Amino acid sequence: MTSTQRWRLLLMTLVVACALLQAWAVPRLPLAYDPAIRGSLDLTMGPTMAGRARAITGLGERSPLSRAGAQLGDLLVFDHPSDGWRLLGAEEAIGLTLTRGDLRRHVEVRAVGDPERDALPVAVITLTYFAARLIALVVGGLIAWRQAASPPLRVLAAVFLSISIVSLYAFWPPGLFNDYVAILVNAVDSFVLYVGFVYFCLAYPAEHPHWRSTAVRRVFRAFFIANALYWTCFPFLVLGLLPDGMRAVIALPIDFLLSAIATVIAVPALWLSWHRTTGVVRQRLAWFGLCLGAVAIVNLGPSTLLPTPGYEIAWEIVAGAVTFAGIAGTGWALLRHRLIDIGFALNRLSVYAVLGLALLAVALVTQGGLSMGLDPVRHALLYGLVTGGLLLALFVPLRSAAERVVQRVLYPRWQVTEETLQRAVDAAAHVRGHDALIDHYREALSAYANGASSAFYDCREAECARIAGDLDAAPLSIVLEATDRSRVIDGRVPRAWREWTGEYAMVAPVVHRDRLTSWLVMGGRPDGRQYRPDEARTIAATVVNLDEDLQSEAQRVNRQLLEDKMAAEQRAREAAESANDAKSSFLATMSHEIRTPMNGVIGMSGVLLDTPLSADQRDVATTIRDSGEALLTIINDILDFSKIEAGRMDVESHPFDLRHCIESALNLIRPRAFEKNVDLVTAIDDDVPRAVSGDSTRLRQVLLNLLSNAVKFTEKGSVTLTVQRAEGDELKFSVRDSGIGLSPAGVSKLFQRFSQAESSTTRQFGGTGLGLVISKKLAELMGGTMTVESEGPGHGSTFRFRISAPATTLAPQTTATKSAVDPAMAERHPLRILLAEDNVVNQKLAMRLLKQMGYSADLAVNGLEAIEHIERQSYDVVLMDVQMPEMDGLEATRVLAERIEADRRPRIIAMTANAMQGDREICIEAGMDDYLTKPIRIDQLVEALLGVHSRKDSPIV
Amino acid sequence: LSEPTIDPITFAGLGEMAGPEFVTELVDTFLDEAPRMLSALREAYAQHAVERFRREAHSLKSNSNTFGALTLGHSARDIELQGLDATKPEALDALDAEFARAAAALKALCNG
Repeated sequence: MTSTQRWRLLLMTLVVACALLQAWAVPRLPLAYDPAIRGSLDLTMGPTMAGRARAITGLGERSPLSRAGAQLGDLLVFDHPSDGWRLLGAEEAIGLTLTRGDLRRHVEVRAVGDPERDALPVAVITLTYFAARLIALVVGGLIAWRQAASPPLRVLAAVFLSISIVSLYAFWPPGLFNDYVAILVNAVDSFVLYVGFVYFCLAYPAEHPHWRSTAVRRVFRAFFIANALYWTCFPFLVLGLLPDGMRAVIALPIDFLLSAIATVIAVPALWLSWHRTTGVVRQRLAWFGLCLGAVAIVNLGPSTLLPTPGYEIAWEIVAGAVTFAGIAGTGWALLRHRLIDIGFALNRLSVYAVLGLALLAVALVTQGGLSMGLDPVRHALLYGLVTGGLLLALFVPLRSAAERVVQRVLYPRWQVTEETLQRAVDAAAHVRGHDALIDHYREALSAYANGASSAFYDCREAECARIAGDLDAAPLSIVLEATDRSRVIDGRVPRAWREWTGEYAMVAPVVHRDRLTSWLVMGGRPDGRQYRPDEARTIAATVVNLDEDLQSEAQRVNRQLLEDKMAAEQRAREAAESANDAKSSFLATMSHEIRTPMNGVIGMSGVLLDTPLSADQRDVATTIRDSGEALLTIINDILDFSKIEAGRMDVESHPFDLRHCIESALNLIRPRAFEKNVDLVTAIDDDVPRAVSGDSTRLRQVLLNLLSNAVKFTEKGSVTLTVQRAEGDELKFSVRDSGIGLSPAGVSKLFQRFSQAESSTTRQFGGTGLGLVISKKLAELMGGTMTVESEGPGHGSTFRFRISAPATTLAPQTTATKSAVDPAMAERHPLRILLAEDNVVNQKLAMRLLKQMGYSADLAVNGLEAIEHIERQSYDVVLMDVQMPEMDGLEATRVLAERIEADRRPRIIAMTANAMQGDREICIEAGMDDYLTKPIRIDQLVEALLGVHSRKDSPIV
Repeated sequence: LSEPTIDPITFAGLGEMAGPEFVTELVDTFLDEAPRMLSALREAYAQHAVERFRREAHSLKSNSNTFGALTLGHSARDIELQGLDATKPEALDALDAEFARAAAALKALCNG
C-alpha cells in the first residue's frame, strides 16, 4: 500500500466516522424547532466576557430568571458553559451563577416551554449550520479522495472534516451532554482549523509556483498566525482556567488584543493580496483569501464583532451562511481547479438574488395556498417539497430570465460587447472564402474575449488538424482519444492540453450527428479572468454560426467549381475533337507517306541486288537495303508509339496458336543469335495452353523486341525465353539474357520514352529506345504488365511480362502445314538445285522441304561430288553444306569460283550449323552468295531461293 | 531452369514445316544414323583423327539441333569446339548417355 493510499484510507475512515455522527444528529434536528420539546430561559445576553461571564441584556416575561431575582445588567455564568449556546429542552434544570456588583449567588432554574419564540429563525440557523457542516464533510471527503498525495491538501481535508463534527453537540439532547467535552471539541477544532489553515498556506504554495510571491505569502502567514494565537488562547479564556486575578488583569486584554490584531490584519491581507498580484495568481489568491478568510472571520465569533443586542439571531444566520459559502467556495476552487473572478461572482450573486426573490414570491403563494391545519413538521416538509420541486422544474428558464434582467440592468457593458460580436457575426455574411471566414470570426471572438488567442481545428476521424489560429503553442494536429473527444464535445478543455491552451482556456465544439467535426479553442484571457458560463455559451454559439457559414461557403465554392469545371470540360472537348481529327489524319498520312518511299527504296535495292553487279556495287546496294530496313524499323517504332500515345493502338482478340506465334518470333531472331554464337533457349511449361485468345501480331512484336534486344546486348552466353501459365487467364513470359545487364538507374530509365538505359548504349548498339516503351504499352494493352530486373551491369537482365490470354480452341486447320510453303512455288519460280550434304538426316530434311515447294534436287555427298555435278550440268543454285568429308563446302566453292566465271556460276547458298563467329564472312569470302543456318527454316529457305534468279534462258534438264 | 530434353517449339516447328509423318521418318533415320556417328566419333578419338572427330561432332550437333535435342546439341558443340585434344573420354560417355535420353524422348514424341 502506497503512502497515498494509506492517507486516503485514513482520511476516508474519518469521513465515514463524521458521516455516521451527522447521521446520528439528523433525527435530533426537530429539537431545534419543535415547540413541544424546546425549552428557553427567555432572555438575551451580551457577548462573552472574561471568565465566561455574559451580561443580561433582556429578560422575557416568562423568564425563570426574573422569578429568581435576576435583573438587566447582571453578569451570568453557566455552570455548564455549553448551556450558553446549546439548544435547551423544556423543563430542563440549568445551574448558573449571577453576579451583581460584589454580590454573587448560585441558582438553579428550569427552562420554560417556549412555543412562540423565534421558531422559524432558529430553525434557519440550525439548518444553515448543519448544511455548512455537511458541505465541510463533502469537501473534506472529496479532497481526501482526490488529493491524498499532497500533504497540505491532506491537512486541509482534515480541517474540513473537523469542521463537520464541531457544533453537532448543538443537536444533542439535554442531560446526556458533558459540556467539558463539548468545549474540548470546540477548542481542538478551532486549533485544528487555524493551525491547519496556516500549514496549508505555508505548504501549498510550494506545490504551486504561482504562489511564490513573497509579499502574498507574508500577509497570508501573518493573518493565519494571528488567528491561530487567538484561538489557542481561547480555551483558557472560555474555561476560566486562569485564577480570578490573572483573568482580570491578563485574559481580558489579551482577548481583545488578539482579536483586534487578527481582524485588523485579515482585511488588509486580503486587500493586499488582491493588489499585489496579477492575472491567474490574483484570481486564485483572491478566491482562497475570500473563502478561507470568511470562514476564519466568522469563527472569531461575537466576542470580537459585537453584534447589536437583539440581533443575535440575524448574526447567527449571517455567520452560518458565510461559513457555508466559504467552505463551499474553497472546495470548489480546489476540486475544480478553477476560479471565478469577483466581478462574475457578484454577477452570479445578483442573478441568484433575482432568482431568490422570484422563489420567495412562489413560496409565499404556496404557503398561502397550504392548509393551515397541518402540524409544523409536516407543514415544513410540504412547504420544502413544493418549493424545491418548483425550483428544480423551473431552474434553468428562471435562471436565464434572471440573467437577462441582471445583464440589462446592471451590466450594460457586457451587453455592448455581446452586441458587437453579434454585429460581426451578421457581417460574416459578406465574407468570401473559407480562410477569410475563419479569420473574421476569430477576430470578432478575440475582441469579445479581451484579446484572447484562439485556434480552429478541423476533425477527420481521430485526428484534428489546425486550420487557423494565433495561439502560438497550439499543435498543428491533435489525435483525440475517446476521453478527450467527450471532453471537447462537452465544451471542456482536456487536462493534458492545458500546457498549451493555458489554465483558463475554453473549447467550443461543432457536433454533427454526435460526431465532432471541428472545434475552436480560445486561449486564456490576458487578464487571467476565466470565461463566465454566459460568455462560454455565446462563444460556443458563435462557433456554431462559423461552422454554418463555412458549410454554405463550401457549397458555394463547390457550385462555382462545378460550373467552372463543366465550362472547362466543354471547351476542352471542343478543342480535343478538332485536335484529335487533325492528329488522326496526320498519323494516317504520315504512316502512308513515309512507308511508301521506304518500301520503294528497299524494294528497288532488292531488285538491284538481283542484277549482275560488281562486288563494290553489290556492297553499296546491300548497304542501301540494310539501312532502308533499319530506317523502316525505326519509323514503324515511331508510328506505333504515336499511335499508342494517341490512344489509337487497338489490340485485337482472336484465337491463335501460341507456340506457333512464339516460334515465328524466334525464327526471325535465330540467325542473328547464331551469328553471335548466342544460344537461344526456349522453355514452355506443359500447362501453357496451345491455343489462346489474343492479338498474335502484337504478342510477336513484343517477343521480337525483347528477344532482339536480348541478343543485341549479349556478346556470349544465352538468351532464354520461358513461358508459364499464371493465375487466371494470364500468361507469364520472361526473356533472360546473359548480356551487358543494367544498373539500378538504368532499370528506372528503361521504360521511359526516348531513353535507353545508358546514353553510351545508343552509340554502341544503336536503336531509338522506343522499342521497350512500345512493348510495355502493348503488354499493358493486352491486359498485363512488364517489368525488368538485373543483378547489375555485366550480370545480364530479365524482362518479364504478363498478358491476359484465355485458353481457347483453334478452328481445325485444313492443311497440316501452315507455314509459308507454296507447293506451286517451283512452277512460278523454277530452279535447278543441287544439294551438297553428307549427313543423311539433313539430306532427307532438305529434300523434303524442297519437295514441298515442288522442287526436286540433285544430291552430292561431298565437295568433290558437288564440283563434278556442277561441271557436268548447270544449276541455278547449290545448297552447300560447309562441313563435309573429302572436300568441305568452302573448299569446293573456292574451286568453283576459280573454274567458272561469276555470271555463269550457280548461286551458292551456304548451309551451316557452325558455331564459329564470323562464319558468314568466311562463307562470303570463299565466294558463297548466301548463307542459311541449320536447322533449316522453311521460310529462310524460301527467301533464299526467291533470291535466286532462275536462268530462264537455260533449258531445265 | 531445367532444359527439356527436346525443345517442344523446335520439334513442333519441324513437324509443321515438314509434316508429322515425315518427322517420324526423319527421327528413325536419325536414330539409325546417330549410333554410327557416335561410334565414328569414338573411332576418330581412338585413332586421334582430329579433323574427322570434329566433323562427326559437328554432324551430331547439327542433327540434334534439327530435332530440338538441345542438350545433346550443346554437348556435341562443346566437343566440336574444344577439339579432340581437350576432350576427355568421360565427355564421350556423357554424350552417349545424353543421346540415349534424347532418343527415348524422340521416340516418345513420335509415338505420342
